[in-house]
Amino acid sequence: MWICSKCKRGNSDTVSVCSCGAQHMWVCATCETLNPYTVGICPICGARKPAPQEQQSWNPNMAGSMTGTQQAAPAPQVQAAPAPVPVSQSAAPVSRTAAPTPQAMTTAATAAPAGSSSELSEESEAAMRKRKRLRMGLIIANVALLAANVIGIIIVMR
Amino acid sequence: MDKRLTVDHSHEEKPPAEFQPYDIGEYTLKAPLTSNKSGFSKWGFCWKGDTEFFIKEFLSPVYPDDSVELSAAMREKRIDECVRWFDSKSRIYNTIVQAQTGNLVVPISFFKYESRFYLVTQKVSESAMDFAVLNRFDMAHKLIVMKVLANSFARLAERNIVHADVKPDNLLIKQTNGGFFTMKIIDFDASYLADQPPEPDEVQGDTVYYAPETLLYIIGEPAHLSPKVDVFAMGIIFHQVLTGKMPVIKDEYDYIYEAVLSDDPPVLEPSLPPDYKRLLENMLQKDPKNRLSMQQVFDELVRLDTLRQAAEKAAPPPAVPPVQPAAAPAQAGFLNATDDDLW
Repeated sequence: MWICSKCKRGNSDTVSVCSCGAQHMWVCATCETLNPYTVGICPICGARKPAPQEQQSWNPNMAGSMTGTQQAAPAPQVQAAPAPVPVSQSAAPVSRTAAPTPQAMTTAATAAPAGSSSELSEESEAAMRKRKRLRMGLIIANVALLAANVIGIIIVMR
Repeated sequence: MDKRLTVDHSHEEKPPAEFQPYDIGEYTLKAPLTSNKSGFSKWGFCWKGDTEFFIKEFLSPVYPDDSVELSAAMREKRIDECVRWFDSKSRIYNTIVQAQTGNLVVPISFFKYESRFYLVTQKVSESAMDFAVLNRFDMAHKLIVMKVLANSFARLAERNIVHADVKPDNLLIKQTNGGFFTMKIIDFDASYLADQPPEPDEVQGDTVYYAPETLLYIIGEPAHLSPKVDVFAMGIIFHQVLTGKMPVIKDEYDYIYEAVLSDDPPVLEPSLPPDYKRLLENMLQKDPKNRLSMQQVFDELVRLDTLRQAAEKAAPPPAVPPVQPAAAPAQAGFLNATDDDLW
């Protein structure tokens, strides 16, 4: 989550442009560092932020390797920071107590912000709650049994 | 652990003719996974739509599915282990994603499929840091490389993340626009949050780049693991970037951390300029409290670069420009800088 410096609206990490049109980050074409949009010169390599018309979306798989395997591809002028990459999400979560189903645990590495519990954590909590309920039921049953025993003893003694 | 260095394609395994593509969740595997150069995992490349990704299958833990005959108690125990492991990894991966600097190869998806766990990241096609190549860079480009690394690790440290496996294999070098080079940091398998370090017998990493406190922690001595562990490793890496060599230790020691723990610090390359030497010495301090933070390292590199630029302006322009356009072959450009260009 990032807060737009212009309209102060919260935006998801997976978008780099606020709905008000303000850009959040830009990617330096020289060193590929993400910089806040308010920074005009990359602090790492000194490259200038390109003009808005030169901005392109960031493709992290873009050209360029030491051996020149991809050098035929035009080196992109990267802009419009991706913020963290979107994440795949599928399948139902798993429970510790329920019969385990395949494809159960799935996390959205980028989607879940810090502190938010993943599907699995929610499931774990549900399982914990269920266990607590079971334990409580067991305690009540034991207490009832104990009470019945006490009553039985009293009756026998009389 | 990750060896997704695809530059030398001749070493890649060719899919056998009979291999049938299959799906792992939302991803399609078109060639078999390999365990080549990987410790506790198998890896390969998969597709989702038109995009190719890197995928890693963890060999452990294995989720006990219905086909495995286990007592209820044992099944419960194994599931508990998987859940704890998965929760812990998810926390780290989510935090790494939030520390993104553009130069971290961050997790895209982490999930369980059938009884195995998988991690998907973007596919990178860069090569591991090669000091023979880096040593031919001029100082301006070496400083960019070091600043990119320092900045990325400073952002990780900000979030209390210890990479814990800093070594050349996990630092990929990439050519960018205009013939420049940048770095990509991969493999967060050994990573942990500083306030939740792994058990001593579960600490991973490369012993060559271990910090002194890592060893103390492993052998049960009082030690606190923090992002300064990465600073120590980067001190060794930076020495290699600047000189092409490891710092020198006496023959009686196998590793740099051993020498440092014995109060016999490594000898840095004598030809290093004093400012750089001081920086490295402060990164290789025995006590993490006396060691620079990665942010301080970054700030110092910025200062040194400013000084370098000022000195360059004052000096007459070089006869041959050190950087060639990207269209030129990779061997050209500042890779051919002479030794005189290095400082």
